[in-house]
This record gives sequence, structure tokens and C-alpha cells, in this order.
Amino acid sequence: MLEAALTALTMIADPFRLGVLAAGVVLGLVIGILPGIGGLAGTALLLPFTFSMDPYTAFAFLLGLGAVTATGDPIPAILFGVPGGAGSAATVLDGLPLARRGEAGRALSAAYSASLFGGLFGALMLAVSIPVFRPMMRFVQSPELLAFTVFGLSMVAVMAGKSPLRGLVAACIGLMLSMFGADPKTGTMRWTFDTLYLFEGLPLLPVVLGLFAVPELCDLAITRESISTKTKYNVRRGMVLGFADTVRNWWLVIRCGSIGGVLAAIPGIGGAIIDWIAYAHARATCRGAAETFGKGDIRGVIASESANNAKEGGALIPTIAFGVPGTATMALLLSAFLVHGLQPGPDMLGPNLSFTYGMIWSVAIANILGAGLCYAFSGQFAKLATLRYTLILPTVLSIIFIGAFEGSRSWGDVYTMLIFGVIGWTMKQLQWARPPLLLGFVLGDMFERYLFISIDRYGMDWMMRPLVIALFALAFFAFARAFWQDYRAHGGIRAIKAGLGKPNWEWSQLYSVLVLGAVAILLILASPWDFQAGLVPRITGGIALSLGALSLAGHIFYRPVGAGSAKMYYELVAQSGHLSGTTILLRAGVFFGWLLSFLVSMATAGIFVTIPLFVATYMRLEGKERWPLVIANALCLTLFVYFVFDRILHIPWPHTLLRDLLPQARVIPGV
Amino acid sequence: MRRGPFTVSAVLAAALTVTGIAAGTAFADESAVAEFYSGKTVRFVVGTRVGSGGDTYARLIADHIGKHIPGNPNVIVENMPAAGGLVQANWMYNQADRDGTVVGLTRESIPFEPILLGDASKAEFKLDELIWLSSPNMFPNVAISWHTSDVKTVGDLLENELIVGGIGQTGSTNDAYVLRNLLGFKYRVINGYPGPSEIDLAVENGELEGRATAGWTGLSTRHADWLRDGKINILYQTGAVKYPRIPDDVPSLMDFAKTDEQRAILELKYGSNAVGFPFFFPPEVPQERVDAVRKAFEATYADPEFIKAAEAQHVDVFPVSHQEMEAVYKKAYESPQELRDKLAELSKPPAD
Repeated sequence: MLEAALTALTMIADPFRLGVLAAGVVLGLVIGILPGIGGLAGTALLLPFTFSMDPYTAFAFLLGLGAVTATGDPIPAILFGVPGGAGSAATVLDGLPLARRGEAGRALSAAYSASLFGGLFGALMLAVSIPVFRPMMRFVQSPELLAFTVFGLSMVAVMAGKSPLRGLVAACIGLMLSMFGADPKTGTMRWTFDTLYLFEGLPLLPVVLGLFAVPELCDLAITRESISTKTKYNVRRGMVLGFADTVRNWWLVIRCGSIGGVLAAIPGIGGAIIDWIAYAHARATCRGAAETFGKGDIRGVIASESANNAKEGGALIPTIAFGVPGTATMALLLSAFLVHGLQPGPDMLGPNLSFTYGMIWSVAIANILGAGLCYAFSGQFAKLATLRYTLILPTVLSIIFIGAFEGSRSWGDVYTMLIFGVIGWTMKQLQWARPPLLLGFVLGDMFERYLFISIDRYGMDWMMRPLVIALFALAFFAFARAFWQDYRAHGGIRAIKAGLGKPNWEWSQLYSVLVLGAVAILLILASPWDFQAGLVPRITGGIALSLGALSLAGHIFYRPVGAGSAKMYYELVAQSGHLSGTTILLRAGVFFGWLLSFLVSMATAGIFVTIPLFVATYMRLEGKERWPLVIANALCLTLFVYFVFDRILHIPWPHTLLRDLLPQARVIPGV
Repeated sequence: MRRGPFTVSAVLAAALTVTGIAAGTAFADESAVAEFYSGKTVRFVVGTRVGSGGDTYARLIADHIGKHIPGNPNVIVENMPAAGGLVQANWMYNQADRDGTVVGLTRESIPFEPILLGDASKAEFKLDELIWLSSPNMFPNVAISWHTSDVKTVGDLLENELIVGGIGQTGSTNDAYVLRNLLGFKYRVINGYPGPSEIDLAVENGELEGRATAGWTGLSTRHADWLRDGKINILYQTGAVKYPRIPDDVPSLMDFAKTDEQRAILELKYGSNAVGFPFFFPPEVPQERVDAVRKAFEATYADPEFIKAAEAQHVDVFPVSHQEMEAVYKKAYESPQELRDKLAELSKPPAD
């Protein structure tokens, strides 16, 4: 094993291969700046060029590219609160408040140093565990996968923060959302509203961008301020501080790096929740986290980013050892394996072990290069946070529209993002935690599948398996602890009784009523489904309804006595507190109006007419920016999107109204 | 015999003229086609994901076909995988440009959707209006059992239960149900896996014992070690035509049909295996461009550079002509309603 690892290292250390790897890293960083599956499309395009290379070089290139496409994600997450990918959503929670305090440089540099060490540690874990991985996986069958999912779902209890009940309601709604589309067992069309778009369920990317990116941009438009008006440190000092933060929290980096590496190695867990689990872990274990997390605690950034990068190594395992690709990018990598005559499976751990180690080293080196490069520039990036909102907003919005469209490349993606944008913004305003919703949404599909598979295959025996019992116990403990803490925070049964009183009506309760109404409608729509297809949706819907009603009743009839709960609210706090309710609503209305007009314009005249038009009108009407700046920004952005998405990645843009009315107009790109 | 106004020489002369005109038109057609395609971009719109089998063929062909289409257009690949490829097929029929610049590639099962699902189908296309171009390969399927299972042959399958995985109601689940109901194969389906590779993993770790349907191409490339090390038994292949790469001693499923009706049902069900990767034009594309692109597909298959690239990627090319494709679809679409109803009846999960 050691010998294979060393052979591989000397192969990769060849200057030419290192050069190719570095080229892959640079390309991956450029592609990865854009949200969405840029990495996937990029890999698909570059794949044929690697066929003529020798296997070590080919994989150095492909893994170099693949390993760093998520490395760019913390930049928009920290600077604008817009997660650059599904994996960086947790980074927003502490990264954005840090940026608001003028500590963007520190946050970015901590994110990158954490990313770097987490990634290295993930690779190391991978290197050590690879010989035992295949035999170990014999013990991971469907019941164990189910248990992992339940354990993941139990993180909801930690994430729900101030209001565990609401967190559970949100998680149940997330589960229900994951069940849109053809049911995995009977093929019943669940909540598809007779559209083809929902056949395969809601795509992740538009949901994440809607829930997390749109609300931040909306608040930016409401407050009409830069993210941060000041920079606390100069470039160099920010970098030093962030690095020191990571070093000081080395034990956290190792823990979260392990979480990232191990979870990514389990087929099906998926990258979208790993950062949340690491974040929840840090929140539960770091000293004083309850008070500071979510308000700009650097440890939140470190936890999520060290796990985020470690998963790149872990995700290789199922692909290498079993030929089960965890992601679409891994599926492409798998086809590259075959082209080079490498057979995933036992051979990769036997005769081809040195190739396997070659891949691990490639991921590790790519991490060093990618995170190192980003680290080096983090101070410069940090300055972006001080830009005026009229510069940032139209640019970022245009890009996330395209990002959402990458979800399944249909109009539905754009609608989905808008709808979840409204939902996300309202949740944020009314302090409903969004992470549980996302967690339920991401894990729901696996939960239902493996529940039925376990019962069909093993009856009830599967519940007695050791790993299942252990994980279920951990999940139970997480819930029990959260409720116990909440109970204690409210001062026990006597204090709760004392807090009960006359009804207390507030406008915000209307939202709870709306949510409950929506769940009820979904349940009614579910009534004609056959038993198996309807079982899990009905149970989760029922739980959502009853807990939601309980939470609403609590809100109406209960006022905490004394200091009440000092627990942190597991969410970003809206920065618009100083504005009046009417102003907030009005400005939010205007913001969503802009989004709608973007949509209408894109449907009428296509993306390449819309982007310059939108950027220019927004900058002129909202901010009276100077024309030269307006034109420069509109032109650069349009050209960038045109070259990358139209010329290189060949995105099939939807046909527009203009094209239907005037077929000659199709000479205009995007029409 | 009455001698008409035509002499032999006159006939000959006429024939020559006709040929001349024909050649002339052909030439004119070709130059018109070349003029049309010159400087244009032809889009291959693929109804499956990046990295899928179909996508691999599309990208491989796109790399080489440009030089065989008159006018040498630039050829690019786009993916439109939503709703299992149905969105793409509907889009090709309703919206795609009808000038020969958009070539579609759909899943092998999509053309059969309207017949097998009837009114429940969301297909908006009329199959007979789509213009079939070529398919670079068939879609051979086999049934397998893991080496530790009691089931080693089809004979065993009639005696012993085989636990197999399923993905929803179509594909392998449906195959297992139909074969259990029709031929008495004792499949027990555990349904709900996310995809074929998860099923393969479950077979390997002992949760399942085999697969009622496994694509041969995926099996022989991704799990070559299973074949090499004798990890699996291949029970049968599903297609009516034996696939050249599958070992000769593997029987065809058709051999187990005892009656003509059983055979007809199996042919209807597995007809899609004969056309693996259907490339097509939307309706109304001018005939000369259709002819030119069909020819270009054939020329590509014979192109040494293409062959070399396909071999390097371990991709088989056993082309299916547009006439063969049309024959398969025609047969399926002309199948009597009772047969389709019967197949739908057989697709229900077995009562036990």
C-alpha cells in the first residue's frame, strides 16, 4: 500500500503532469466561479482531449479541474450571501455577517485556509481508508443508508435553533417538496400539477438559489447599501488573521474534514448537505457557539468550508471502488476511467492501486493549488463587498438566472427560483429557519426510497442491525437534546404554564396560516394516490400540519416569562430592521418586479438582449450610475455570458416570443 | 408484336438522358445542400444527461460527421434531459427548427411510450412524422444472477426465486413483472433504487441477487471484472436479434416463448432493443437534406478516424439503418390493440 502510494506520488510529481494539473486547476476555478453545473459541462467538453494523454496525466487534469470547481463558491457566499454552489450555503450564515462587519478579507482567507487543510485531510483519510473500504461497504446496505439519512435529518433539530417546532415543520415541508414528481416505487405522479417539468421532481439548484441567494439580493435592494461600508483590515492583515483563525481551530478543521470525507464516500448522501452537517456539528460542539454562530463567528465559516473541500476526495471512493458515481461529474470521470482501460472495482485496489493513489494525490495537490490561489487573492476579492449595490445586484442577478436555468434547462427552473425566492425571503423576514427546509428537501428522496427498500427486502429485521441502531440512537439523542434544551430555556413546565394566557394576535401569524393551508391543500391533492405512493407524503404532511398548528397556537397563546430563550436564531438576521414595514414591503415588491421583468424580457427577446437591458436600466433607474460605467458593465457581462455559455458550453436557450413572431430574428443569439 | 415508336437506341438514349438528368439533379441537390449547410451550425440535441450512453455516441459522432455533411457545418452537442427525455422529444416535434440544423437523439424507449402508456402518455409527438436518420447501435439487454445465487440458468429461474432490483415501474421492474406473469420466471422485485449503478452495488454487497434487465454495454464496460472473474451468470438476452458481442451460448429470451402470442408480446415489449440510439430530424425537413445527413451518418461510421476514436472509448458501433428503424416502429405501431392491452395487463405486479 505504502509502496503504491509512493509510486503514485513520483508519477504525479513529474513536472509535465504537474503543469497539466495546474492547467486543470486554473480552468476549474474559472468555470467554478459561475453557479451551477459549470464544472460538469466543462468536464464534458474537455474530456475528449484527455483521451490521448497517459492515464496519470489525464486524471491529473480531470481531477484538477473537478476538485476546484467548488473552491470558488465561498467568494460569492461570503461577499454577497449568494451561495456559489449548493455546497456553500452554510458558509453564508457566518461569512456574510463577517463581511458586513468589514471582515470579508479575514473570512475569505479563513475559508481558503480551512478549505486547504480540510481538503488535505480528506485526501489523507482517503489514502488510509481505501484498502478497508470495499470490505466495509459490504455492511452498508439499504437499511444503513436509511439510517444515515435519518441521522442527517436529525441535524434539523440543531439547525432549527430558537424554534425547534418550526424547524421540524420546515423540514417536513422540505420532505414533501422532495416528493414532487414520479414516485420511485409505483411511478404515481405526485404533485406534478400535470406539468412535464415536475416529472423528475424539483431540481436542487434553482431551489437553493431561490432560498438562499434571492433573499440576500432582495435585502440588498431594500437596504440600498453596500454589503459593507468599511474594511476593517488591510489586505495583508486580513489574510494573516484568517490563516491564524484556521490554525487556532485546527482540531475543528480535522473533525469537519473527516465529516466531509466520510459522508461524501457514502453513495447517495450528496454534497448539498455536508456543509450543513459540519456546521451543525461545530454549532453543537464549539464553546460559546450558541451565542455567536450566525452572527459572524469565524468558526462557522471554517467548519463548513473544511468539510466542503474534503468531500471532493471522499466522493471519489464509490466511483473508484464500485463504479457508482456519486455525482454527474463523477459519472463523466467514470467514462474516462473506461477509456483509459481502468476498471472500477477490486482492480483499482489491487493491480491498479497506484492509479488510485495517483488520483488521491491529484485531488490533494489540486486542493493546495486551488485554495492557495484563492487564498492569495482573497484580500483583493474582499474589496468587492464594498461596491455599491447598484453595481453588484444586476450583475449577480443575471448570473444566478443562468445558474438556475442550468438546473434542468427549462423555464420551470426560472419560475422555481422566483417562487422559492419569495418563500425564502418571507421565511427570512419572519425568522423561519431555512436550512431545515433544504435538509428535508435534499434527504427526502433517499429517505423514502431506502425506507421502502429496507422493509420490502428485510421485513422488520433491518431495525436490529448494529449500525442502524447506533445511528438511530444518535438521531434520537439530537432531537431529545434540542427539545430538552428548549424546555429548559423556557423554565420548565411551571414557567410554560405561567406563560400561557390571552391570545396575542400578530400579522406574521398569517404566514403560518398560509403555510398550514398550503400543506393542507397538498394533502388533499394526495388523497387519490395509491397507498404506497401516498404513505410517506401523508405522514410527513400530517406531522407538518399538527406541529405547525401547535407552533402557531404557542405563538398566539404563549409569552415566555423572564428572559426567555437566549438561544441563537439559526439564521441570518435581516438587516432591514431600521426601515418601516411599509418601506420594506414596497422595496421588496419593486425587487421582485425587477425579477419578473427580467423573466418577461428573457421570454420575449432572449437572454442576450435582456442582460444588457436589465443591467443598464437597473443601474440607471436605481442608482443613477454614470453612463460609461453602465455601458462597460452591461457589455462585459453580456460578452462574458455569451462566450462562456453560448459559444463554449452550448446551453440550449429557450425559444422566445420574438422568434415565433419574426423567424428572421433567430440570427440574434439567444432568440 | 407491334413495334412502337421507340427503337432500342431511342430507349437507350432516353435512359441516358434520364440518368443524366438524375445525376444533374443529384448534383444540384448536393450543391444546394452544401450551400445551405456551409457556415451553419448543426445542433445535436440529446434527450439524456451529459455522460450517458446516448450522450457519448452523440459527442463521438458530432466530432466526425461535420466533414461528411455537404458544406461542412460546425456540429455541437446540447443536452435536454428533463422528464426522462420526453421534454426533448416533444420539443423536437413542436419547436425545433425544421431546416435540417437540429438533429435529435432520443432514448430507445421514448418512441414506444405512446403505445405502451396509451392515454397516460405525455408524448406530444407523432412518431410517423419524425424523420429517422440512423442509430449507431442496438440496445442489447441481458438478465444476470450473482454467482452465489441458486439461479444459474433460465431453468433454475422457473424453480427458484431471484431477488432483483427495480427503478420505478418501467424498465427492469416492468420486465420482471411481465416475465413472471407471462413465462413464470420467479423474479422478486425490490423496487425504488435510484439508478442502475446503485442496483449493481446492491448486487455486489449481497442485498440483491441479480438484475432482470442489465444493459450489455454498461455491464461489459463498467463491470468487465464480473464477466472476467465469473462473478455473474448471464441467463438470457432480450432482443430478437442476438448481439454480436454477447457470448454465443447465451440464449435469446424469444427461445422461451411457447406460443405465438407470447412471442408477439415479447417482440412488442423488446422491440426497442433493436434501435438503441435513434437520431432523427423533426418533421418537414427538406428531403435532399435528409438524404445528405443520412449519408453523412453512414460515411461517419466508415470513417477510419471515427472508428479509431470509438475503439479508444470502448464504444461499439453496429449501425441500424433508417429503414430498419422505421420497420421496428411500424411493427410496434401496427400491433393490435388486444396485444397492447394484454401487455399492460401483464405489467401489473404479480399478486403473490
